[in-house]
Formats: sequence, C-alpha cells, structure tokens
Amino acid sequence: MVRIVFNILIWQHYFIPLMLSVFLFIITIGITIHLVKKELNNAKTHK
Amino acid sequence: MKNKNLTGYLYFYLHLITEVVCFYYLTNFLNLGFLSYVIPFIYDGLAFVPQSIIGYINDKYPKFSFSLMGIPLLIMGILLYIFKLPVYLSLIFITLGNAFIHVNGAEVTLRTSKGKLAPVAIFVSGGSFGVLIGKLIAKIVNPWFLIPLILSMIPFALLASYYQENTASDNLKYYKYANQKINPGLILFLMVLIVICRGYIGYGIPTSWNKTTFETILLFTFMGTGKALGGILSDKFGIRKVGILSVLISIPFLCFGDNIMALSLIGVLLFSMTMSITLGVIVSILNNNPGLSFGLTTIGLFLGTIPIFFIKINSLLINCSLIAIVSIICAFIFYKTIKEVSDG
Repeated sequence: MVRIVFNILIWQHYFIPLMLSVFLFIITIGITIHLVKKELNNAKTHK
Repeated sequence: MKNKNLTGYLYFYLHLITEVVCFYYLTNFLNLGFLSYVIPFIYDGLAFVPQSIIGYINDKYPKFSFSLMGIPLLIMGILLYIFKLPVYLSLIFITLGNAFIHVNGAEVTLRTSKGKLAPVAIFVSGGSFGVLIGKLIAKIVNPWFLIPLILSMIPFALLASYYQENTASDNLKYYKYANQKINPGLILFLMVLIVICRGYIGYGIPTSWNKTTFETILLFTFMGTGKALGGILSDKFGIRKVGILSVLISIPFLCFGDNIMALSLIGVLLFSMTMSITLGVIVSILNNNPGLSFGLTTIGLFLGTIPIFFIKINSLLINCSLIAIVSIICAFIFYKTIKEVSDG
C-alpha cells in the first residue's frame, strides 16, 4: 500500500510535469516553425 | 551612442546576474535524486524553447523593454523558492524571467549595432561568467542576497531601454552575412543544426584536468572570453574567416587537451567563438526578427542538450572523433553559407 502511494506521488511530482513540459516544447517548436515560414514568405514577397 | 558596444556591456551585466540567479537556484537542486535530472531538464526547456515566441512578440513591439518585465519574474521565482512553495511554480517564474531578459538582450544589441556582432557577442559572453558565479555561491550564500542583486539590474535595464527607444528601425538591414545563392530556409536549418551539434559535443569536450575550483573558474572564463572574441574578431577580420578558422583550429586543441589544461583552454576559447556567428547568419535571413532569430539558436541549444540527459559518452576516442567530424562539417557549412563581407 505504502509503495503504491509512493509510486503515485512520484508519478505526480516528476512524470506529469515532465510530460506536460515535453508537450509544451513540441507545441512551441511547431509554432516557431510556422512563424519562421511566415517570416520567410514575407521576406520573399517584399523583395 | 558614443561607445558602439555600450548595449553589449549593459546586457553583459543583465545576462550575468540572470545566470547567477538561475544557476544558484539550479545548483541547489543537485544531489536530490531524480529531481536533480527533472528540474534541469524542465528548466532548459522552459527557459530556452519559448524564447522564439517571446522573441517574435518583442520583434513586433521593439520599443517595449522585456528585460524590465523579466526582473519582477526573477524576484517572484526566488521569493517562491525562499518560502519553499511548490518547486515547479518557482521554476516557471525563474525560467520566464530568464527568457524575457535573454530575448530583450538579443533584440537590443542586434538592433543597436548596425550589422556588427561585437555587442551581441559581449552580451552572450556574460552568461558563462554568470553560470560560474551562480554555481560557486550556491552553497555558501543566503538566497535573500539574490534580491538586491536582481534589483541592481533595474538601472541597467532602464538605460538599455533608453537606447532601445532611440534606435533607428532599419539598423537590421546591415546584417548581410548569408550567401544569397542558397535557399534561406536551408541556411536557417543548417545554422540551427550547427547549434544543436555544437551544443551536444560541448558537453563531451574531454577535460580530465578540471578538478579544482580554480580550474573550473579558468574553464568558464575562457568559454565566456571565446564567446565575446567571436563577435569582436568577426567584425575585424570577417565573419566567414573567423567562423571557419576557429572551428578547424579548435579540433587538435580540444582532442589533445584532455590532460593538458593550456591546450584545452585554447580549444574551448576557439570552440565558443561560433555562438554569435550562427546568430549573425540567422539574422541576415530573418532581417526583421532578431528576437525570433535568437529564439531559434536557443531551441537549437535545448535540442543539443537533450541527449545529455539520456546518453553520456565516456570514451575519449568517440568524443574526439565526434568533435573532429562535427567541426569539419560545421566549417564546410560556414564556407558554403556565409558570404564574406569585405569591410574588414
């Protein structure tokens, strides 16, 4: 029982924040790629 | 502006204090089991990755001082840490404060320097000294000491924002380092790839000689000096020449300096020079977006550090081979993608 509670605590304290941040990193990198493409297109049209 | 590197010096200080605070905080999480892996990983991601989006917003509102916003975030993060409130809460504030100050540093130094790399290189170099000081004082100084230290950034940030407001908006047009015969998207990809590879191998540089605090101080001092010299020498001798030569000459010094401190330090100095060069090339392509450009390099650094959390290569031969191969590829990419500016 103690072991199960301990495992849940570990899960909550480490893995959930870790997974959440990895999810955030992927979304942010995706948005960045979109912004870069947009700016490259802008630069092309302004030439 | 009388001194053309003034914004570089202002942000050198802001960057230094930011890293002192962040590495003081991070070092205090070492030796805490699994937390000592999780916290640095999340810190790296939350501080480095969002800089592209924050940078993009700063590009759209260039007169707005993001570093003045970063200061209260850092204070909030440290207060949460002092009062032992949930660690992830303090982590979010500290990383966001870090990101705001970094982005603004790049934005202002690039916008005020008319195509020169020295100011941004001086700004970037402050980080190495900050990391060093933060690590050294982490176990001996009370966290309350950090509050006046963070507050000391305000006059520097105000002065920098004054220069930021009085800068011509077309200054970025002076950055013309990228070879226009090559697809700009491909150049961006290759520059980020260089940052990723060099971010990764930077952790594999063999430094068996580094055992005492004094030797660590020397290592970080040479790292910081190399970052600043990269920009200063690029302005003097040309970005292409400095980029290619520093990368190639660093190979033997890094590989044979495992037990010889002097050789290794020269190698580290040369190795660190490419930081501002890759940024300069990216800004040449994303001419209206210095913040987004800087964010791309920090994403590269984060992606380069990810493998370190999972794989550690202990073989000297593999590390040296990796350093040599990656450096030669980097030099070739610089040769192909950078246009030589002949204004010396």
